[in-house]
Amino acid sequence: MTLGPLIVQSDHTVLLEVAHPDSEDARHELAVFAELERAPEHIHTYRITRLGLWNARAAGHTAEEIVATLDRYAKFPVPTSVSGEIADTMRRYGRLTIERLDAESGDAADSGSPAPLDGSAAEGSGAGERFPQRVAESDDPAILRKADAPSEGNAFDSATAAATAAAYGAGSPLPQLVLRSDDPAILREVTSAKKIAPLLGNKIDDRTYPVEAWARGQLKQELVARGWPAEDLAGYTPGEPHDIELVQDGWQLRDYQQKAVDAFAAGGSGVVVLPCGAGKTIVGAGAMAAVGAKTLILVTNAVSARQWRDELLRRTSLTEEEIGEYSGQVKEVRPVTIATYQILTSRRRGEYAHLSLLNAHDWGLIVYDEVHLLPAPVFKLTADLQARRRVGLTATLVREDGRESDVFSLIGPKRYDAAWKDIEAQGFIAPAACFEVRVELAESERFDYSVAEDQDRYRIASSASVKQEVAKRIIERHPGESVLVIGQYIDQLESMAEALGSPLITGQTPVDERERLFGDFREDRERILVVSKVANFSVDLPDASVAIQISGSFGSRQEEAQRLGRLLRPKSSARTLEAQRASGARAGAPSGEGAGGEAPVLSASFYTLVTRDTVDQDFAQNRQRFLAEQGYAYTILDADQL
Amino acid sequence: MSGTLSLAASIAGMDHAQLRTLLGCREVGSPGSISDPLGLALELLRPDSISRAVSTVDRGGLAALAALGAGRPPGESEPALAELRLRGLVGLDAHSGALVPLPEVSAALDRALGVADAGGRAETETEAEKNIDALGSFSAHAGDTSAHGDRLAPGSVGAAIPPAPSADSADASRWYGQALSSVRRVAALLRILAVQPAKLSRKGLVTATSLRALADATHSDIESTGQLVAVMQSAGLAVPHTEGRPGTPGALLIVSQRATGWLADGYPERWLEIAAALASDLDAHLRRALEIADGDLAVAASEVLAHEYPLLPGTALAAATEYAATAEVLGLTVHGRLSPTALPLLAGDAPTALSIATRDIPPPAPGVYVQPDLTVIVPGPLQPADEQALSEFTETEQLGAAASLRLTSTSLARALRRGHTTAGIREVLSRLSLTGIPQPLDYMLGDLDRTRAEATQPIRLARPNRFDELLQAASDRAFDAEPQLTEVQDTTEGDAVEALVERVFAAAQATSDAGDLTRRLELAIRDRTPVQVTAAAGSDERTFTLLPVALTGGRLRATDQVAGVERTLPVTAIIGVVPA
Repeated sequence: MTLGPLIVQSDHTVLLEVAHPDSEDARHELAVFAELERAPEHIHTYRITRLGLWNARAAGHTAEEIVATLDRYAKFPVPTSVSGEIADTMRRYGRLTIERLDAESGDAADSGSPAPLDGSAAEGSGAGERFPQRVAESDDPAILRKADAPSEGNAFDSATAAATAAAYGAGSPLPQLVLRSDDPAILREVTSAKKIAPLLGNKIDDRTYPVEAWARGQLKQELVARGWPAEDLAGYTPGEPHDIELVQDGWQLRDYQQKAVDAFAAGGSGVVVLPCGAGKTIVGAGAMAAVGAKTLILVTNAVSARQWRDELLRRTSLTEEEIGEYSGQVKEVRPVTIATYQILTSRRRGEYAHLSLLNAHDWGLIVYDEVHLLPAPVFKLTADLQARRRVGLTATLVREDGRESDVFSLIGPKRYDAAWKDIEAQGFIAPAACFEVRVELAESERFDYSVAEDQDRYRIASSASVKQEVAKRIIERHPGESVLVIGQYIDQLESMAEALGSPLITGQTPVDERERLFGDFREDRERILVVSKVANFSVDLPDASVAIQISGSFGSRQEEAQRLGRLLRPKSSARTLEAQRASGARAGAPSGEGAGGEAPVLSASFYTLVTRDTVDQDFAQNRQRFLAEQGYAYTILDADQL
Repeated sequence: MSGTLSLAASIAGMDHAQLRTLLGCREVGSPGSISDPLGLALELLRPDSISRAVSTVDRGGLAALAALGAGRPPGESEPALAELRLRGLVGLDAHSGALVPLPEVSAALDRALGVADAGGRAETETEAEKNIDALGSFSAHAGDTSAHGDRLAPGSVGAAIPPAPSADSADASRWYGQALSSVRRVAALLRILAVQPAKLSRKGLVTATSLRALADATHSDIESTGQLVAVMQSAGLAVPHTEGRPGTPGALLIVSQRATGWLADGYPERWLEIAAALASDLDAHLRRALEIADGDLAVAASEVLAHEYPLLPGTALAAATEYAATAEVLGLTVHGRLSPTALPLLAGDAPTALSIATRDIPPPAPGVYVQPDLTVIVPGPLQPADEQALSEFTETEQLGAAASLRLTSTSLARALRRGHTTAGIREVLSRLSLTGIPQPLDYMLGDLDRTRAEATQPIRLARPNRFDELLQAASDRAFDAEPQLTEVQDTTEGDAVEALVERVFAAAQATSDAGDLTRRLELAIRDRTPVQVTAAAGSDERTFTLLPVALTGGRLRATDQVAGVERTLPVTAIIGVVPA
């Protein structure tokens, strides 16, 4: 018995004792192959999944290393079933590869150092030199270890790029895409599958099948579904070069942001996981600068698109003329185009009306913001974009629709994952305290509630009139601080806005009006904003330090994470700082708005008003569990304790 | 040709101990209906009985049987044949005392080896010879402990046997993680069964629905849950319910009185009890395969057993695989290798096994982690009383070397209805928690107090007494009505078998009576088998080799095989009938 900090259970969960002296080391090594499921105060729960193991394998780790890690830190012996399945799962990754067949020799184009399609990324073109070679020397376990032997084509090796360019020449047809395996039995198994056979041509030899060019993504999806994930060594099209530089005047990429960019650069495609407020947009900008090519950015909505634009203008050499917005309101296609998922998936007469955007330019990079929200149709479209480099940005790999494997297949493996606690400890995101405030239904409302149909009960309970009064008292507890009041029901929000004398933002509010109000809020001209769920996603509200949730989507975990995410961004407002100092709140380490820093980080407060003894309270249990599992301090209060 | 008389002669020559051995390895359908060696021989030569018996013979035995059937002299296989005689697969010549093949057994063997035609005869002498040679050659290597291989199939006999994987003692020393986990899971299953007995099928097995419910309640997979339930039954911790015997509708599996004591024991003692039950279930064939596999139960069950006992049916092989999987779940093996505790247990040395278990299984944890998300993490074993207390007001989320439990408003309310108080729960948690009581839990307990206080406010009802009765009844039904069930008294068939031994032995010692001789003659007529018939007239005794044709009116009509004439003998004159 080693008395280590880990307990490995036979259901593939791993418990980590946080207070153990070795827990930090164990956590770092665990993060390479296991997903953090719950992080309450004392014991964190990780889960070892197939995708997690394949992510680790893609990053160059072996089953022996992983089992050794578990053995080294385990308190009790690792169940034999777990170590056996780790070995079995990991040996499946990479037994199949997708490569380019050399047109002349018939051999795969250097599968050890796969041939990228960076024909135009030859020396002197700029693109091939951008990716930092120091990645290979990184000792951060969060960064893939395979920097020296990239999986999905080190598309940025300029020497290889030049060689490829010479081999194929401008305008020559692309080399043949093939599926290969050194084990003919595996190849036979997968190629005989009904869903895979149509994606392949006639067998070249026992170890090689041609792949239809359009089928690269779909093939990867199907192979993952069958438990034989392919290593994609076929490289990428370089895209049309476009000069993009990070302009680091007065700020700099934080260490973890730089590592994330490096990890993406070494891998070529994949997903970067960073907590809300940790500066994912800047990582996206860093990736664009590293690629140096025309870029398509896909985001969740128009407001988010504009915030991307503003951030790019602020952080990079890009000018307004170089950045286009492609949304319901505006249709601009420029070297850097920011489009919404919605516009991309909108249909006219049964056809995707804006599909041409994907080929409007020779994109060198596609950025997927909030990749955990990527709509299913975009997966289909993404399947056809496998020849282009892709980077996904998200706070969580967990998707409510369970399509995590599609993200793995189509966007790429996880390339970088920084723990929320680490970044909070460095002072880059704000610590948050969560409060659940129990309120009583008024007698008349209680009667309405008791006789209401089931479908109306949540609305009645969560719209309790007493919440207005309680919200006011909470706001009074935070004098001078910026406050968001967030709700689900428009009637409730309208009366709340009226009661507080504050502006209201809903889905009906025009984008320009929204932006103006957000600007006022950011510039301290408005202290309180009442918002509907439109503010859930990608709305950068850097100065909010207090959120009051008066109603929500039945305790949705994702919504809870997003709403809390509004508060995690560093608070730099002089007013907020002053207000918190006056009230004795803790100031954290220096920080900026997602970039290396300037101002102290202050704590955030997240209140949820819950009506006692109603379904509102039942749903609140989900929220409480979720937030506590995420490691936030959680306190339940009665309204009269405020 | 029939081997009935030869087998009857063999049985008649057995002593008590040999008869017990015979009846120990051969199933007899209705022992009460058999009274003498001939009756027992008839029963043992039923085709299904022979198939079962032959299927459990090892390669050496099969080779000896095949050689005997082919007329080869016993030679070196004499000891194997003597052993096979005790299994009723070899007959005895009443005159010479030599071992003789039983035609029914030879035919069954030919069929099983795939060299028989539709009539059960070997297709060619060559085929039969090849199989005999192959079986014999393996037999010569049976003592080689590195030998194991694929199941015998025509054309593959004598195939190369790969070496067994080398032992990994470091792996086997990690057995206690699984031990810890299995004890915890068995304890949880018993607690569930105490409240909700499982339903048994007509075959006495836990129904699929009940098994799924048990697996769900313990957040485990159905397969290993089934294995643990079987061990619980084997250890006598869970027993069938008297009012619904297995095979009758409504039969239930409930916890036994013994389980109460088991739950109060420490982890090493608990583990020993269930592991010993499994060890005692190891059958002789698998034990033999385990020896050959050099202590690798997985290899023994999946490879060696099929090779060593080539005619073993698929069900027996599946049972062996299941046994090996259960041993792995309990920590009796690790990656198939016997754990340090398994060796003494299989040798029947429980005290040594217990001392190793006590040494290896970690001592009770100093406490538990009570977290703000209302989970309770138990990082290792707990004192039995503390484990019981926690189980009463938490729900299980995950069981393994550590346990993950959850406090919910439902689990707390259930505990309160069962007589716990919030103060009591708070006391237990405060005592056990290494991290205090988090604020949300503290609030929840306070809220429960408030809710219960409000619920006890007087309510005006038209019939208050009736309301109270209904409430109490509902409460009892829902939570407090522990099943008052008693165990099934297991009635064994040992008495019937022992009585059969006595009857057969006594009949064998008695002089053959007229009834016995008549049955022998009837058998010979049925099987068209010549017999040697001894007839006496006054002091004159003569023996004929006859092929009996009919037995009517107190007379035997038969063809004399030597003289070539038909003879008719009065049955009263016949004093002996033996195989020709």
